[in-house]
Amino acid sequence: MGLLRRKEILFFLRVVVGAAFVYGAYVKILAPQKFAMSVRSYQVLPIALSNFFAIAVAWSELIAGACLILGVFTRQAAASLAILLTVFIAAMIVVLAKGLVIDCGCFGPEGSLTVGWLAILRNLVLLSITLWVMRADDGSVSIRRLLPARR
Amino acid sequence: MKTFLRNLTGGLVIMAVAAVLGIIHNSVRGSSIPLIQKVGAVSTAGQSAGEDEATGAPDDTTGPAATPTTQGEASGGAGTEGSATMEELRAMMEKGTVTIIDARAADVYAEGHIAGAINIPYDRLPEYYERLAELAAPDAAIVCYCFGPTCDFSDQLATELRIMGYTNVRVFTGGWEYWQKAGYPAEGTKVD
Repeated sequence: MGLLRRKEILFFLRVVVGAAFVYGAYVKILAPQKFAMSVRSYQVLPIALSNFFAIAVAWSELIAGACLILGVFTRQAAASLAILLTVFIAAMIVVLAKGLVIDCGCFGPEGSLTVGWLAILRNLVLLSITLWVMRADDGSVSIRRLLPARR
Repeated sequence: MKTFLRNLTGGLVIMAVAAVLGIIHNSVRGSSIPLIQKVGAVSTAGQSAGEDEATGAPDDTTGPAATPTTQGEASGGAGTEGSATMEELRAMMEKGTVTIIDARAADVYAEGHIAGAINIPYDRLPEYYERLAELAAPDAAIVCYCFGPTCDFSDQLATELRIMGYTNVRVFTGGWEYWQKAGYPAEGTKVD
């Protein structure tokens, strides 16, 4: 794989994954009550922490997703998303082990996916991409490059 | 490895900053939610269904389900648990003073449910948020049920209703299993 080609693929994946998280975050921030409800339906966290967790996750997705698209703190943003995805996968495995049938709440209530192997596989694919970005991104495609260099 | 750990630390810093921004945004927005959710979980699954299993005869004088507690107390947590017996539910139905919610999935609801019950499937709860918000007056009597005594969908639904501000929510722990066994009024495609 040529250097340019590899860079293009990496940039394309960054934008796709970043946009998916920004969209998911937008839906969650718009209706935090619904997302907190989704968090509680997993029955993993104490109810008391569900709202705080919902707010922290939604905003982490927004900021990290935006950073990934723009190429600002790209590796760190990819690390944030990798941490979130690992938590999501662990929570989904717990839900499956408990035998609960619930909506994953990944992109808000509408058009979501039931927690199951497909949802876990989707998160594993996203996790692999974020880990690759963490490892391979060299900052060559970023908004910083578009701004005039500081002297 | 060192770079990986440094990036992970950076990732945690981004998350911390994002959480602070989220808390600030939540505190200034119109429809904010409490950071610490104070309503305690409803837990009645596995309790007595308020019925003698051996005879199938209704018994509303014994068992934990016969002693409903007051709900929606400002204290939250302790004392927010409440269940309704089959006879209490029957009495409320006859008076027409109760909203009954079936927390099971739509397909099993369609096959058979307590007469007059509406369906809010617990597995897709956030989709029904608006409907739940406009369900009834905040102090209206609401009774949730699901399959039977070991099912906790109705408990989860009751917890969410209390979080939304409903103060008189109870769970009929016997659920569809006991209601059907008793031959009480029911509706659905597989109900005679």
